[in-house]
Amino acid sequence: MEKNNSINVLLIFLIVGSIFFPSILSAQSEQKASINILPGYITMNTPSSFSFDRTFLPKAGDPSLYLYKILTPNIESSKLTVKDADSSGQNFHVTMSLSNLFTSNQILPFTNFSTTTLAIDTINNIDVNSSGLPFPTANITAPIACSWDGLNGTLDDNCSTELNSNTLVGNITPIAIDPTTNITNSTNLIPVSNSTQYTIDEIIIFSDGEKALITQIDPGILHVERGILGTTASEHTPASGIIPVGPESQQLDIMVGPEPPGGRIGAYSLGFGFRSLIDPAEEIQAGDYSGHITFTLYIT
Amino acid sequence: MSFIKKSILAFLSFFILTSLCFAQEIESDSTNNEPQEETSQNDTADNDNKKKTGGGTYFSIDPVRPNTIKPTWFMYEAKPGDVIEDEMYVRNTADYINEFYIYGTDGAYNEDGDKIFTIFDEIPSEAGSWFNFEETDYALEPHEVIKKKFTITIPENIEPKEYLGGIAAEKLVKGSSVNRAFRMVVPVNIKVTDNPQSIPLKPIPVTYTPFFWITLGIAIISFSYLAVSYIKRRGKK
Repeated sequence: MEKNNSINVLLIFLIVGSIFFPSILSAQSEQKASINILPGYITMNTPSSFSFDRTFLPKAGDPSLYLYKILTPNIESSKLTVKDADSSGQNFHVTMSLSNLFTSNQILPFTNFSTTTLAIDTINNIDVNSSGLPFPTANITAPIACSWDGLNGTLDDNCSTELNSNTLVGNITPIAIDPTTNITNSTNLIPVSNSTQYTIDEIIIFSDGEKALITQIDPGILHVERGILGTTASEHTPASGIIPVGPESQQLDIMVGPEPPGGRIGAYSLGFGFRSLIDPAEEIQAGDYSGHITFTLYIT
Repeated sequence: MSFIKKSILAFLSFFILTSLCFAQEIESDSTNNEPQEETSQNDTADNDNKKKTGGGTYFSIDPVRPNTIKPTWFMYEAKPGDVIEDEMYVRNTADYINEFYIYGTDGAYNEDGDKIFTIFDEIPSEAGSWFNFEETDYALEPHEVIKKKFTITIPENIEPKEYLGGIAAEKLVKGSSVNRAFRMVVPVNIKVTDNPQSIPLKPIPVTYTPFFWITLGIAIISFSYLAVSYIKRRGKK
């Protein structure tokens, strides 16, 4: 009889346990989930002040060929920021590219622009100090950074070396088999082997340096505006090669993080400098140019 | 002790032991659950700021079934001509209604070995052109997460090799002269081969709902048995 009672007590204990066990486990799991946050929610933003206002672009009669736009790292609300929401080992890159700028009848190619990021540079473009002024770029690598706090002098005074070496470039590899027929200096139709390799609003460069702008694409035929940007329309032979420069510059790596890889929770930021050097040979005219800049964030 | 009591005792013991095993699995896999909210006060303040200024990548794309090799990437192996069907979580991480669009991009490596992805205005010619999304334009409520299907159609007669593409989520912010496009690209690695292998996936998170009801059902049955036994015994007395 005593043995039976013990078994009954054990049974009741197990029954009660089995009722509450899922709840206990569930509570335990919720607690774990709140600690182990999912990786991946890295965000990036620039302030609203980062826009190319119209005075940035050429003015009629303006003797200056250098035009600037700067985000300074010493102003908290004026910098490119990437936030890494967790410490789960997410590494990221931020790249930047710029499109050609257009008016209704003019083009300002992205190849006229150069850029640099601004950081309080140490030997490896990494600012390890996370406090103090200028506001830090702690724990990132800034591959094209110029060591300038944005406080003294101008962008060109402080960062001319970086700006001169960081001119935006497009594709430089020619499509060797194009054009597919002889081209006269008066035609605006360029037969090509595969027109899907070209894009509207893209500059193409012929083997002798002539530049043309693609305005329309039909299967196997490019409609172009010949001899632009100070160049002259000329004759071209089949398979002399055409370089499709692209409608937008190659993407420049401007921020890589965290440093060291797989690092901490954090917010990473950079100043950003932009300069346009108008080539005097390219007859850039005053106008209301428009285009776009693309910032890409990707997780590695 | 009767046979029935022994059976109940054994079954319940087994069930609790099984529960313990489940608990271990869930603990080790808790980072793989559906996206959690983790907005801090700083993030909220920043989101408020972004509501005014409007520029940033306050959205994300995540694989529904992350792989173990690169959990934040989409990774596949397939034959030429195959159609891959998969799902992704599309998430608004902002505190405001966020509008953005999604598209496929071609990926490549630049001379420094860094990845680059074609922009929205460029027509993709490789992996980026293989995507077909259930939906491309989004206007998500604050912190809304939705699951969306997409397919990747591998062309026939394509060279077997690894192709890099990407799924880009992008928001365009209009400026006075120059628009700013902010995008987050999730890399997609597609190995086209005549002998595709399965990509190892992280374990699917265990859900408690059926587990709870089965346990409760057994408990009720067991308790009823005891109660009936007790009443019968009292009746005999």
